[in-house]
Amino acid sequence: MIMKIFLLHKSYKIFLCILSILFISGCWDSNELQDFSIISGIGIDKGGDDPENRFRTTVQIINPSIVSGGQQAGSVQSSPVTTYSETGSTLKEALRKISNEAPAELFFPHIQIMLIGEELAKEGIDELFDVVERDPKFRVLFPVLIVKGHTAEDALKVSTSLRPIPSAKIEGSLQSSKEIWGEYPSTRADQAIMKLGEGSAAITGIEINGDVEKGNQTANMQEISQSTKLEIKGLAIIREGKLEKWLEGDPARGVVWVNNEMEETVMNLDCPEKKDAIAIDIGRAESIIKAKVKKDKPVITIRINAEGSVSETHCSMELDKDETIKELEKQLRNEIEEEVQAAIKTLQEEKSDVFGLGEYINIEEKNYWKKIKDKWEEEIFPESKVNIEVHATIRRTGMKVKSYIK
Amino acid sequence: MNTWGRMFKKKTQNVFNDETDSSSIEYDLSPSLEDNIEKVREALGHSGDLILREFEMGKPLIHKVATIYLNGLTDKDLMGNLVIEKLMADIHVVENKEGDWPPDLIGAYVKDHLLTATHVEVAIDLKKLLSLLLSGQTIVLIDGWNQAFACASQGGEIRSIQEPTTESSVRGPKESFTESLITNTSLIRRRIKSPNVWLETRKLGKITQTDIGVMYINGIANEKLINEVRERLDKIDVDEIQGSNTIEEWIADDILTPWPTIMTTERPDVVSGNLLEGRIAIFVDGTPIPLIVPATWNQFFQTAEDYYLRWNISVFLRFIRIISFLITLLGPSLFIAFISFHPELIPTPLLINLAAQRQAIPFPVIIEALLMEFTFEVLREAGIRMPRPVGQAVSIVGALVLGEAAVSAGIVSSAMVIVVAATAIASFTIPHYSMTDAVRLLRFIMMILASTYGLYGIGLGVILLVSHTVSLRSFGIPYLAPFAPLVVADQKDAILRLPKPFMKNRPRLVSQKKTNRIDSKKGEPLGEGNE
Repeated sequence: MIMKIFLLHKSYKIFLCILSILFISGCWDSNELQDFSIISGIGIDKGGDDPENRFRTTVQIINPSIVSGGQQAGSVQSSPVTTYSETGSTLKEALRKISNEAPAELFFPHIQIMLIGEELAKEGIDELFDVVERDPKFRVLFPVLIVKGHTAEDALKVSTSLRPIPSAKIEGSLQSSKEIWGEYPSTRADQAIMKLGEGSAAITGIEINGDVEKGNQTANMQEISQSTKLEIKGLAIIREGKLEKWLEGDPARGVVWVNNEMEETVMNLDCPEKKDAIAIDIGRAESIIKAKVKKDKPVITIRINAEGSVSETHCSMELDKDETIKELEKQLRNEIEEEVQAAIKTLQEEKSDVFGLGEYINIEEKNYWKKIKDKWEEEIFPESKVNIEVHATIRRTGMKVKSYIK
Repeated sequence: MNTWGRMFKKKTQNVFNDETDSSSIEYDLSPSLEDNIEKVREALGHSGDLILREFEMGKPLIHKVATIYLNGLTDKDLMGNLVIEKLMADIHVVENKEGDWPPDLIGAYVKDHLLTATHVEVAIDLKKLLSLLLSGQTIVLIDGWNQAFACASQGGEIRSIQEPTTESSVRGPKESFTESLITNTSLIRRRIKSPNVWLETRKLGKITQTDIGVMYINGIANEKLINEVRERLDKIDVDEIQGSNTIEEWIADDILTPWPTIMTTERPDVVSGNLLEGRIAIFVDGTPIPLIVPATWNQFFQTAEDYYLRWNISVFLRFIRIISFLITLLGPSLFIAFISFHPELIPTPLLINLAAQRQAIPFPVIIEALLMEFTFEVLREAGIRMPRPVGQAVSIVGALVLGEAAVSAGIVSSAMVIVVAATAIASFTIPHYSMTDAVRLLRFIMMILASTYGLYGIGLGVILLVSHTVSLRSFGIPYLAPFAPLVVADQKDAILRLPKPFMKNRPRLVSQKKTNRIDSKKGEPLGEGNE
């Protein structure tokens, strides 16, 4: 009877066809969460000299029940993450080999950071990103960092407090460093790929402070002041795929200014009687780069607009007066200009155009760029004239006009 | 159109013969009182609730008279006062002194001068007599006359008007329909005091002889629609009408669709509101829930309360209902799709959390989901069917065992309990029960699609569902109106509910005549005849 109803109507034949597709296909591509090892971070190091084990990859796998907490109270606290390392001649080989050790299939989409060991960075990182781009399991939106002075494996082994997943901690520090302090930019894998394709790139570094072996223990996590810590430090200048130089401090921030990546930072200015005694919170900044060709030579103008407010002063100043503010603005202008100048000078010495200034020339004078393209970084960029125009404004003086300091 | 109906029609006709119930009975009434009484008794199988009272009428010439009624269907006081008392006490049938009056004249005299019942009908044959008797009237048989009177005396126990149970409201009227057709139609008459509220009654069901009332407002309701309803009711060919659902399944456009294409309500204000929009209500005696046709999809997400609250909160509530509908339909299936096909789309902290919960779960997520959903459905059904006094036990077992213990036993993850619970709660915000039921079933199809194809499967399911829904019609009106086809003017009362002064026009597709609610020229109220 029921079958008769279904056979009567054409639409129910179609319905039966659809129904059969449902069962014929099975559950292709379906996976259960417990069958995954969720990777939080991936590290790549130099493996050895022979091609057999060219790369050594390390994956940091999350132990979900520890991280989410509360589930297994009372039992011995195991570490929130576990790392596994393998060597191979290609990254993919090394990653697949990890399956021998890992409890379940590696799950890549939730990677939060990718670390590259300094040793490998010095030899060249050009070829590392092909798999990241090609393999659909990867997302290219995680930041890339270079481990200063250590291997990536070491860095991934350091336990961290506050954020139990070390990769998440690194990612968090990198974000806040970028947004609050503005010294080091955060380079996502896709940006790194783009920059490496164009020429030079600047990639932020990370440093291990303390003993690596101690960092590998959960005890490190339980200390109030951790004996081994991870710190965002240094800006690696990559030229032709190889690590050339580390920038720190003012030149590093100069790169951020030019790259229009500055969000917030603090600049110190001088009082008449004290050095570096006024803090200016930069709240808004932008850079505009223009390129021109004059007398067959490129002239590049970098214009930086910055807005800030006085957030601290250690000397009595008449902040209600226009002249004082004007004076401070001038100082701020010079201060920013110095930083930018330092960055550009260093990079011209290094013959690395990490700003991508060449692209601006390309936009302006296409034919000229074609001529100089091949010798740009090597010959022309170090000799080019770079004008820096800084426009700094101080908008506010905080909640007070005059300080109680006399 | 009516696939179901067409399929079964032939068969029903073969099995069921028009004349079966009374073919052996001789129809004509005889002049002999004894004979007639015997005939009625025999027709009813000497039923115990048939009450017979024989007495004498008139002086000096005596006429033997009998009254017959069915116990329980008749108001005994009324019958005693207006029928028996009048015939017995009134002795003025003296004019027929010679006894030469023909029986018809006696009958006419009794009817015109003696019976004070509000309504008296003459039954010329037994069939008519029985039908009147069964509808609660008192039959008066007079010796020597081969016809009978039926006096209005319907009464007996019926449920009084109570508060609506499934469609309660805070600010609106607090009355709901009862099982009595007459009470129900009177509730509408009290709301719309217009002569244009027309009620067409008919009897359906060869055995049950159920009273059906088709109510509409003349001049507002589309005549084609009224004819369509009449035609579809004519096609009903069955011996029993058990409530309005029987009618619904007979006259619905498509009986195999999951969606309800006929609206039902238990609130008189909803019916009167719909009548004023040009819709037609079908009342069925014995059912407190009349049908409203044509129905559109969005009607099932509107409540009477929407019009009693301020418009802004009504709009908000309607949005909540639509979102709840989507949660009910897609909540578990999206969860399944994300977990088993697209874990990369889940934010990392949540994924870690879910992974931690799922570590010890032995089943795939679809099994887990079906298990929980099935359990919930069982609980729901148990809640409705079980005897009231044991209700407590079921809710304790349901909440504790299935909620808490299943999670701590590691059979289901707590996230799944949350998803199922959220879905369940969301399903209760859909105001009309028939729509809730539709979504309840569709949800399982979506879950199976999600577990085989992931988000792609859900996408396919939704496309199929939407294309099917678009193809539906309810009594000629596109089911998804006013969204598909888009009627911009009618958006005022679809998901939005604009303030009343903006609702000057009735829904365009439903009422194609007299769409203006406010006739500015005449300044007259609603429904003043055809124009």
